[in-house]
Amino acid sequence: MMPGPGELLGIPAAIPDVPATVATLRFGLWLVAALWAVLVAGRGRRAWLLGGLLFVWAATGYWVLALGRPYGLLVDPDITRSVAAATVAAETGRDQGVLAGEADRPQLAPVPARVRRLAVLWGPSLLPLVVVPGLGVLVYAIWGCRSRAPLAALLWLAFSTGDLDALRGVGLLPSVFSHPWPAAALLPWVALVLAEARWGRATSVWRTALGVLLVVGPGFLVPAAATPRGVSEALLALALDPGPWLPLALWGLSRAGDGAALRLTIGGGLLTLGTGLALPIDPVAAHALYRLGLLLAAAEPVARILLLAGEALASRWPVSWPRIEASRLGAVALLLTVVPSSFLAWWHPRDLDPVAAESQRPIAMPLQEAMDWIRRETPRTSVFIASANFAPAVAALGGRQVLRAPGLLESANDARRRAVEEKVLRGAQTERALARFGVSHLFIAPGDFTEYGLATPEAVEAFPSFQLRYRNHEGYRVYEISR
Amino acid sequence: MGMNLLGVDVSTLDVPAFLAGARQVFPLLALLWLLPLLRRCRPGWLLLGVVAANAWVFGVTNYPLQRLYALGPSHDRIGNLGLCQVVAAGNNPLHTTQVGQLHFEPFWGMLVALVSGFDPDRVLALYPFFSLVMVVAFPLALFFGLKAEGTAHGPSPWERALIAGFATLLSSSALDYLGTYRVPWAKMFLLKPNHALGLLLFPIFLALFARIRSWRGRLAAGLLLHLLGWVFVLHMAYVCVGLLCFAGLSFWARRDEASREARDVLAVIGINVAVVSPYLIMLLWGYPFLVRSGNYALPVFSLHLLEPTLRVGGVFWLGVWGAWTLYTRGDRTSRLFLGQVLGGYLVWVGYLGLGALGLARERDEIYFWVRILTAACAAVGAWDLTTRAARWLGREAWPPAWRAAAVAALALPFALPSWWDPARMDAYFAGSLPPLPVSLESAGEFLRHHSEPRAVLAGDPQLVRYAAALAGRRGLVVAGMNASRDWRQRLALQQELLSSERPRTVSQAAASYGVSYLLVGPAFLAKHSPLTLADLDRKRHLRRLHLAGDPEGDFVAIYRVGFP
Repeated sequence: MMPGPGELLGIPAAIPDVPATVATLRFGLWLVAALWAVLVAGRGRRAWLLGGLLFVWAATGYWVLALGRPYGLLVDPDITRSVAAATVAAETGRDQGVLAGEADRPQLAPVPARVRRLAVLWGPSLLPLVVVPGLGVLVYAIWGCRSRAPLAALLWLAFSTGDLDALRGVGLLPSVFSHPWPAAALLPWVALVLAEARWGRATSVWRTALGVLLVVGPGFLVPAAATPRGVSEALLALALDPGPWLPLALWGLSRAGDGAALRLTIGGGLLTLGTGLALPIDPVAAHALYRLGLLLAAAEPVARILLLAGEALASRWPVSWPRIEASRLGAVALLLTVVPSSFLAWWHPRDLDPVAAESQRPIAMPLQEAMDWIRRETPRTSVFIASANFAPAVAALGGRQVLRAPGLLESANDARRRAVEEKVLRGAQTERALARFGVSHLFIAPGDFTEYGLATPEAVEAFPSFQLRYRNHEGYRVYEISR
Repeated sequence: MGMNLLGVDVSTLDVPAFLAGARQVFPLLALLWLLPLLRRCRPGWLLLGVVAANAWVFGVTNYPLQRLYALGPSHDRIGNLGLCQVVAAGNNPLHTTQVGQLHFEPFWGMLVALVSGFDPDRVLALYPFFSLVMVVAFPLALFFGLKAEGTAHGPSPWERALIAGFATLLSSSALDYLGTYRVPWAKMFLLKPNHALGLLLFPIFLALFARIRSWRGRLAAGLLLHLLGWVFVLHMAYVCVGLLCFAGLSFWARRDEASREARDVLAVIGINVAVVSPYLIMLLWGYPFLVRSGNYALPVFSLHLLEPTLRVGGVFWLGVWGAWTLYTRGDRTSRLFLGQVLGGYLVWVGYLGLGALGLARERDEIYFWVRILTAACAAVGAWDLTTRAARWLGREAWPPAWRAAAVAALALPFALPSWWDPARMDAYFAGSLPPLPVSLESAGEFLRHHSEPRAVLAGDPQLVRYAAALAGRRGLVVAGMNASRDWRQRLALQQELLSSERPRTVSQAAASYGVSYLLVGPAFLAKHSPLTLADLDRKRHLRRLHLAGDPEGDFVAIYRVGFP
């Protein structure tokens, strides 16, 4: 069976019931923000981070649990293709491709197939829980401006994505699901930049330029498809989408000029511009670096503003109430007001990501049962004929190679494969054809292969070479094809 | 050729490129517009920019359309145009498109008919521009209406220009299109200019009320409030609640003039109720607002309270600061405006009770009202914070024009034209791009020019609704209208017109409602299967006058009802 992420933790598939509980989530996040404020009002520095992690995990964890299946599985072709390749490789024990007779060139090739399968299957679903909090931890732990690190971590955790960049499709949070590997790459990438800026000795212009290169360089190593966004779109993403963070950051850079902030802002900005020039750079990772740079640069001005606000609040603070430092009081006000209104608090993956919406539906049980049977009862070397609708499931869930998988993978000799498929399904003498690709089974569902004159799945039983091995109440059938 | 509202052929326009271009150019134009503020210190320039930005959004949305915005995709729009057209055709403005039914928003129909010279053809040409008039006039009304007289504490002209800008351009936010109530600007100004007219009167009313010195002033304010009731009764109700909040605020703050202000409020509301009472009675009689429905229920634990607050984001918190700023000011206009904001939120909270009873109708209207007032308040907050920031930074000498330019520049990314993409965010846009089907256009034209203005149409309720919108002819049963008390008789007459073989009897029955035409389309025939056009052609009480479209496909057939 293919559980959703929640079921991995033993949480029943029906929980959370999104329509019934989303209001609870919004009120709950307000309470978590209040808890965060209480933690910040205390004395420790770690509380700033801890509260933020709780907030991010609550906001993202709910949506991860709401997935009824691993994100994108049998919905998004790229993810399904990766899972199918890894599953087939894990099941067959060889680096066989999804299509029979074709070798695979998998992502994460040096990694054992079973580990690779786990990574490509669950990575996109679980990375939202890791990337944004992980970057917050890095800022807190490594950023050179130690006095402002807790505030910068707070700003990142609360405002890693804004409405406008989300709308433009470059917001980190709504895109972690769909850009898992560039998002995951941000963790070592940012760690490297922060560490270099902190522990690098010299502070010359050349040093900064080298630091910027350290931001820009990996941008070309992270696999990404070129997206023709246009320079003007990229410029708007840089100038408009950050909203108030841009002027605050410019103010901060002009006063303090923190090295890491400068490197990330310039490097992320250049990468974002590069996406506008259709260079093969991931726009989400590029924009995340730019935004992180802005938030780090804005930490100093924000601290000054929060101090001012805190002093104003402290002057009206009842004497009988516990005393809170003015700077912390300002942060408490921020957490109680703006943070519950942030994009993170109101994020609904369904709204901006149709794949996420579709992934909230569990995979139909009859299909899962059929695929479990295939994995359990058919030889690992089996090759299936399946329709375009079901070939991805046979490979990704059943772990068996398929003759064709239109829409998922296109073979160079697809015409020949199609001819074999047609011959077999029209009941022609097929021994040579079957032998060429090792075809051994047929998976067929109602409505499949009608173009070959099969009015119903059981119509193939008219041909002597088909023996029924499995069927279920949904009408899914598996036939063994004898040569 | 597909003509837009300006008569330009836009059938070959690359709409996605046009919209993207508009979004990309606007920020640059806006910044160029703000530049002169650094030298030319006149608030009018900023106000003009606000008006131009609103007109820009109107233009961007309407230019590619080959039919009236939302005519077809929105039932509201067809219904509303119909309500105006029947008046323009010379029918009673107190009646809807459904013959014999009372209308509860008669002012708009009368106004449109007057402006168009009671000519349904001209209504079709002018109607798109009413939205433009509203988006231009509302910021102007806010600017002039919120001017405080005789005090130095009221909103300055710069602040009022910002209020006009925020109320229109920042009352909608980029992700509103994903929310329950969609984008307030589009729903209020593009879709419902009739309701926007209520918004337009609101600042004028505030100006009048703030200047009350005597009973003459109270009478004038009461009469204007009553006019607001005729325009859109809900806005009148919101204003009344806001006035009570204003009085309450005065007492709460222990102001010297609290008693006088309470008297003003009671007198104005009293005059309003007295004058508008016949209309209210008509409304109570004609509108089924006490009919409970699951559609009008609110779950006990819903997002209702968060929708116009936390969900709105920064503008809400700026609005809260603005409300505090208004409270701390001494002038009557500021308190009056604050009272309206509080009143709006009070009504919003009250909807929880209505929701529990299954009576929470027209939630979107109060939502838009609250959003617009909150954004206006946010301008006050932003102006105050900018003034404080200038002081904090040791820039007290910065002229107000610079501060206003700074606020406008900071708000620019969040302003409607910077992110407005109707193809993605407006559910009615895509459906408004192609022209109306030829069969509908042709039927509308036939009815406009070859039927009596007071004719009543029977037949397909959907087609009858279009006929009202395109030709101004009323109907026996109109889709989207509330069921009347004689609903069964009407349905029976419809059935009789289709099935009866007794021409004299059926003609007499039709005459009792004044029905003289029957409209038939394929959906209507399918509903009355196996009825065919040929069957209808054989009826002696029906005479086919017009057939538009393909009789085997999509068509509109018009029959004359009557037995010679």
